Amino acid sequence: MKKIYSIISVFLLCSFVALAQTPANRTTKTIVADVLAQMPAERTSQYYAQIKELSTTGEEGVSQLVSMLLPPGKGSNANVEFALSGWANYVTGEGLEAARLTTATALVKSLDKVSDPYNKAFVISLIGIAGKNEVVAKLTPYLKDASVVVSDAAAKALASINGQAPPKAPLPAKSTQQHERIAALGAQMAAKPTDALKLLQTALKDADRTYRYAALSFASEYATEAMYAALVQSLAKATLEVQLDIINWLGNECHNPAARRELTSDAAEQTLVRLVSNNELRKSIIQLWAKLGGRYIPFLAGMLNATDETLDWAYYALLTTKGDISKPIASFLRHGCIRKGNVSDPVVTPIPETNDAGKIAGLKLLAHRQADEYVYVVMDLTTSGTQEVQAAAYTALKDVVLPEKRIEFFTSEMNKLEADKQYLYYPLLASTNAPQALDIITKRFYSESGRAKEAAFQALLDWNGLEVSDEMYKIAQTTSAYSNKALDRYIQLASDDRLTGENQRLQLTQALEIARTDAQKNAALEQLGKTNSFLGLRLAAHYLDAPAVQQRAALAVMSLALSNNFSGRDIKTLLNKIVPLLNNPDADYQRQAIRKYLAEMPDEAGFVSIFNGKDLSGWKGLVENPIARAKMKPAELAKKQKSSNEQMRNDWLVENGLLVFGGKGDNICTEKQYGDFEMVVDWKLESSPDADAGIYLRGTPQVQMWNIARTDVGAEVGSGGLYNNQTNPSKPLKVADNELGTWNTFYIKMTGDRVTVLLNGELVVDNIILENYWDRSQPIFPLEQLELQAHGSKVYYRNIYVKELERPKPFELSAQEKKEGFQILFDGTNMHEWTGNFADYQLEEGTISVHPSHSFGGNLYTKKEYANFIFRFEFQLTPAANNGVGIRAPMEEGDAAYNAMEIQILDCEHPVYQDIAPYQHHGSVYGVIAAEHGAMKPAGEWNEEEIYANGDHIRVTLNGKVILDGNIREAAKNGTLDHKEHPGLFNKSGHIGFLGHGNELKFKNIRIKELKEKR
Amino acid sequence: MNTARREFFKTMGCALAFTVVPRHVLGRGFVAPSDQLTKGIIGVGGMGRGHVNYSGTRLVAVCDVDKKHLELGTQLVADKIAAYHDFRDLILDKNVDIVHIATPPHWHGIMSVEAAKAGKDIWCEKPMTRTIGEGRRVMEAVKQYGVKYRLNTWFRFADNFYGLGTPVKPLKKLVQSGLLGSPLKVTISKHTGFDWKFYWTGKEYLEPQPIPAELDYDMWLGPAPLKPYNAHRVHETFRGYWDYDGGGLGDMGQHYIDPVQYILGKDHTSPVKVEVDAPQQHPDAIGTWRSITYTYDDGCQIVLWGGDFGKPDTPYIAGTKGNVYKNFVCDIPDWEKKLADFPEPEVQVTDFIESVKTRKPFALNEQNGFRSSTIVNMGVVALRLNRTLHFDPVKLEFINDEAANRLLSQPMRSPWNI
Repeated sequence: MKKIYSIISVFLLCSFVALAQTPANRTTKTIVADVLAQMPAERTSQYYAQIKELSTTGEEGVSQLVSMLLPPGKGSNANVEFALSGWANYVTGEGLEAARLTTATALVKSLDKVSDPYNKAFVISLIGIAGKNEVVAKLTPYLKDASVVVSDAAAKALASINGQAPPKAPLPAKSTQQHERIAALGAQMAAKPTDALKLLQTALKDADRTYRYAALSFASEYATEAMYAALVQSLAKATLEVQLDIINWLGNECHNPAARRELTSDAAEQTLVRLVSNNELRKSIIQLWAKLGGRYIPFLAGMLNATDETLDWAYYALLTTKGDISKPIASFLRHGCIRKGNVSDPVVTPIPETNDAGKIAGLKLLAHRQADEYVYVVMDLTTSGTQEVQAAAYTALKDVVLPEKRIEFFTSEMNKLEADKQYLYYPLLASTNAPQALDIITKRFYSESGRAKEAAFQALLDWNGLEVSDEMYKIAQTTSAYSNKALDRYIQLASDDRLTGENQRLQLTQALEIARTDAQKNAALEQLGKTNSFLGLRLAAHYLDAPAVQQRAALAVMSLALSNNFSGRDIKTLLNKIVPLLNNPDADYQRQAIRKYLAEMPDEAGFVSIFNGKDLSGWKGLVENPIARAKMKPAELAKKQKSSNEQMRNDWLVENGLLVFGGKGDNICTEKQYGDFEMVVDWKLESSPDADAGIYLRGTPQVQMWNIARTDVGAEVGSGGLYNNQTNPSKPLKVADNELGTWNTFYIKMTGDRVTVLLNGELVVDNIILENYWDRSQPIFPLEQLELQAHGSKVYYRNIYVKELERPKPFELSAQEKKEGFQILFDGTNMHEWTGNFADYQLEEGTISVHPSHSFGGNLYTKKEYANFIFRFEFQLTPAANNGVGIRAPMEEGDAAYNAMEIQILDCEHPVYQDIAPYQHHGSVYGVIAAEHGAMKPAGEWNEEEIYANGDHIRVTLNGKVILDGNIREAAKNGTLDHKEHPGLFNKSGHIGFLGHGNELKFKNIRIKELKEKR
Repeated sequence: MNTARREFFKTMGCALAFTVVPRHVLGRGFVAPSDQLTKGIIGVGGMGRGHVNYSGTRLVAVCDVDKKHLELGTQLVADKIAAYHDFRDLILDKNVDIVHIATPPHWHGIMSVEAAKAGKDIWCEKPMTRTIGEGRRVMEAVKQYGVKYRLNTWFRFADNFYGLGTPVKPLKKLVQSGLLGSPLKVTISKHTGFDWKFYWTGKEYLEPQPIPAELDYDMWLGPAPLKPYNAHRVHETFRGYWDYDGGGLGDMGQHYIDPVQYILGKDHTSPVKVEVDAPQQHPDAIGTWRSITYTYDDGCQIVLWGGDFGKPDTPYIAGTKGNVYKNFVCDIPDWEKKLADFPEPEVQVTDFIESVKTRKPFALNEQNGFRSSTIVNMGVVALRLNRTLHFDPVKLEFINDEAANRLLSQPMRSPWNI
C-alpha cells in the first residue's frame, strides 16, 4: 500500500514540474515542487541535499509550503510536512545560524496566513524546533489563542525555546461534558436500535461536529439498507458540513454489503452525480466512488479531462479501486485521452495512438515504472509525433532505460542517427554521469557548431557532478557567448556540498576574479556566505564598497562571522560597517543579531594579516636555527641577520599581491615570534615534479607541502603532516590536496606542544605533539618565529593571517623547591616528560586535562622511572570524578592498583560514593591503607597534593593536611584491607602514572624530587 | 497494605550503595511478613490484560480511559475489584500496594512519578519512558520517595534470549571472562535472530474520524499534543507515532538492548555517540530505518540493523579474540572448558515481590532501566533529526546540538507536567 502511494504522489507532483529543467535560475516554485516530488528522502545525503536546496528559497519557500497545508480531512499534507519539518531540523545543524534565523523568522511570518488551528499548531511546533529568542515575542500572543490546539502548541514551543518546563499546575479535572453527552446518545441507541435512524437524524442537526461524528459512528452498528437510503436522500437538503459528514461516513460503510447495494442504486447515482459538481464535496465523492468502483468508473475516467486537482483525485481513485491495476491505467489512457479502441496490452498499446497529452502522460507513466521492456515504444516517440512529444520521449528515456545500460544504449543509439541529429542525445548522455559521456560532450562542444554546439553546452550546464567544474571554469575564462553562463554554473558548482567550505571558497575566489557582471558577483558572494571560511569573510569584505554588490557582501560577512563565532578587532570593524548598510526586509532582525553578537564578542585582536601583499615588511631572512641563534652574541646575530635579509630580498618576491618563492635560496621568517596561535594561509605549488615546501612552526620543521605524485619520497600520504616527527605521528590523516598547480589552504593551530592542521577544510593533523627537530631531547620551543620553507621549487602564498592565543604562564619552582632540588615534570606548556595516552590527556590552558570523549584508553606515564621521591601536583575534579596516581608502576596493561600501588584520586564527598569502603577514599593506598577525610576542596576548586614515597613509608598530604601516613609492609602483613592480591605493592621503582580516562579532571604544576631511600 | 506496613518495609530495607569500584553491599537478610501484596493496573488494553498473572500479588483495581477496556478489565478476576477512569484515583487507592503501568509510553513518566509520590512501588511496562528527561525524573522520584521500581522486560535474568536460544547468563559470563577480547561489537538484526517489527509504522495522513463514544480521547492523549482523532493513533497501532512511542525501536528496543547493556557491563553509563542510516522521518508518523549504531567511550558498539539489512553471517558479538553467533555458537576453541574457571555473574533479585518485601533493588530497576531506555531514546532523537549525535553520559545531554537537546525533555500539553 505504502509503495503504491508514494509512486502515485511522485507521479502526481510531476505534473507540476517543468519538463526540461535548467538548473540555473530556477524559481522558488520550481524548487519547492521539485523537492516535494522527492520527499521523503531515502538517504541522509539526499535529505541534506534536498533540504539545503529548499532552504535557498528562504522566506518565499516557507510561505509557499505553509500555504499548501490542507486542513485535516482535506487531504494529505505528508510531503509538505516532510519538507517543512526537514527544513526546520536541518537549519539547527552546525554552522547554519544565518539560515536558521531566516527560517524561524519566515515561519513566524507565515503564521498569519494559516487559519486551521491544527496546521497553525504544526507550524508553531516547527518554530519550537528552529526558533530561539528572536521568536519569543511573536509567539507569546498565541498563548491566548482562541483555539486550545494553538495555545497548547505555543506553550510547548516557548517552553522548548526557553529550555524549561512550563509552570507546574495541579493536574487537571476529569472528563468533559461533551464526553457525557456522547455516552448518553450511545446508550439511547443501544437501548432502542429501532430508533437509531431517528436519533441519528436529530443528532445530525447538532452544531457539534464531534457529536455528529459520534452519532454516525454509533449508527454503524444498527445501519440497514433503509437507513443508508434515508441518509442518501437527506443529502439533498443537508448543510454542506453535514453533507460532508454523511458522505465520508458512507465511504467508511462501503465494507457493508447493504451500503454497497444502496449506494450503487440508480437513485444514489443520481444524487451523487448531482452533488459531485460541488467543489467542496467532490473529493469525498470521488473517494466514495473509488471504493464502489463498477458503475462509477466511467464517471471517474471522465474526470480525467479536468484541468484542476480533480484530475489528480480521479486518477488516484482509479488506481485505488480494487482489481487489476492495469485496468484503471488503461482507463486513464483510453478515457483520459478521449480515444477508444481494442487494446491488446492495456497499459502500453494505446500510448502511441492517443493525442499528445495522452502520449506525454503515457511516457511519464513508463518512465515512473522504469518500463525497460517498452523502451521501443519510447524510442518510436522520439522520432514520430510533435516536438513536445519527442521532448517528453527523450526525457522518459532517461528513466526507462535501466541505469547500468544507459551509457552504452545512448551512445549506440546516438551513433545510429545522422550527424546533424545526434545532439538530441547529449542531454541523455549527460544524465548518465559517466566519465566517457562527459568526454564525448566536451569534445562535441569544441568541434560542433550551431544547434549541436548549443546542445553540448546545455548538456555541460546540466551535468550533475563536480567533474564538470574545471571545464566550466575554462569556458568561463574565454570571451565566447558561453562564458557568462559557464561562470554562473561554475559558481553554482562551487556551492556543492561535496566540497568542503574551504574548497568552495577557493573556487569562488577564482570565480570572483573573472566575474564580469554584478549578478555573477552577487551569486558568488551569496555562496561565499555559506562557506564558513574566515578567508571567505575577508574576501567578501572587499566588495562592501561597491553599491551594486554590497548587500550580498554584507550578508556574507554577517553570516560568516555569526555562524562561526569569528571575532577580533577587524571583524568588529567590519560588522559595525555593515550594520547601516543592510537593507532588506529582515534587516532589523539582522541588525539586532549583529548587535547582540558584538556585545558578546571578546575584546581581542583576532586574526591579523602578516603579509600586506605589497612588500616584505614584517619578514626577515633565516639565520641558522633557534638553538644556534640563542648561542650567538647579539652583535654576531645582527650581522648575520643583515646579510640574510639581503639574501631574502633576492629569493622572495611580491608579485600581483602574492608572496612568491622563486625556487632558490633560504627560508623566509616572521620578525615576530609566536607562542600559541592559529594561522590560515593559502598556498600553491608550481606544477613541477619536484614541488616541495613547508611551514615551520616556532622555528621548527614542519607542516609539509609537496607534490603527492612523488611516491619515491612517500608523498602519496598527502600534505599537511608533521613531516619531521619520529615518535609522534608524522603522516596526515588523509589526502586532502587539491590538484598540483592550484590553490590549497591551511588552517594551523598550535597550543603548547600540540599542532592541529586542516588542509582544504579537512582535518589532517589532530592535536599532535610537534617534536623538537633541532634537539629531540628538548620539548618544542615555547616561543619562536614562523618560517616558510625554501625547498627548491617555486611556491606562491597569499592570505596569511595569524591569531595569537592567550598563553598560560609556564609554572616555575619556588625558590625553596629549587633549592631542595625539585624538578618540573609539567609546567603547563608541554608534555615532554610524559608518554602514553595523549589523546585523552590533553594539554589545555596550562593544564593536563582529561577528556574521556576521545576514548582511546590507557594511562599517562612519566617517561622516566622513579623509586623514592616527593611528588607534588595540583588537581581539580569534576563532580564524582575518579582517577589515581600510580607509583612505581610498570608501563603495561593491567591495573596499577594491584601490579603497582595506586594513590586514589576521587571526589569521595560526592553522594554517589557515600557507601564506599574507607580504603577507597581519596588519598588511600588503594585497597591497602585508608586515608582520612575532610581536607578535599569542593569539585571545581584546585587542590594541592604531595605524595611522599620512601621505601615502605608512604605519606599523602592534601591541602596541607596529612591524610595518610603509613607503612605498606605493616599494613599488608595480615592481608590487605580489600582481601585481594597486590603483587606490585613492593615494586622498587617504576613510572608515575595518572590512571584512568573515564572522568573529566585536570592536573597542573607537577614536580618531583628524587630521594635516596632511608631505612 | 497499610501505611505503617509500607513504612516498615522501607525502613527495614537496606540503603543501597551506588556501584563504584569494588561494589559494597550491606546485605542483611530478614523475613518479610507473608501477607499477599496487592496491585492495581493502569491501562487494561491488550498489554495490561495480558500481564495479570504473576504470582505473589492480588489484583484489586483497574483503570482505563476506554470504557470497553475497563469493563473487560473488571472481569479479569472473579472478585469484585475497583474500576477507575482516572489513574490518579487508582494511585491514591489505599488498597493498592503496587501500581502496574501498562499504558502507552507517553504516560509512563507522569504515572511513575505520581505513583512514587504516593509511596507506591511500581511495575512499569517497557519502554520505560519516551524521553530521556522523563526517565531522569522517574529515577529521581523513585529515589526521593524510596519506592521500588521494576521495568518489565526480563531477558537479562530469565527466558531464552531470542536468536541466542539461551538465557543471558552464560553470555554474560563469557563476556565478563574477557575471552572475547575488547572492545566488543554487538549486532542486533534479523541475521542474529532479532526482528525490529517494522509493522509499527505510522500513516502520514489520517482522516479525522469521530471519537468512539467509549473512549475519553482527551485523557488518552494526556500530555501528548491534541491531534484529530483517528483509530490508527490509539490502542493497537499507537506505536507508529512519535507522540506516543518510538515504533519497532520503542517496542522491542528495551527487550533487545537491555540484556546487551547488562552483558557489556554498561548499566551505569550510556553510549557517547549514535549514528543512523535511515530515510527522512515524518514529524508525526514513524518510518523505518536501515541501521542505528551506538558507540561507548571504550569503543564497544551496539549495532541495530532494521528489516533485512545487514550481512547474513554477522556475529552477534564480535570481539577482538573471538565471536559469538546466532544460537550461541562461539568460535573460540574449547571455550566452554576455558570458561569454567571464571566466576559466575553476580546474583540478582529477580522476583519483584522479594524486592518489595526486602527493599532490595530489583534486577532491572529505574537506574539500569533508565540507561537502556536512554539507548532507545537516543536512537529516536537521532532518527528524528537524521544526524549523528554525541552524548554526554554523565550530564545526560547531547553535545553541541540544541535541537537534539530540545527533544530530551519535551514540554507536555497543559496541564500535564512531570
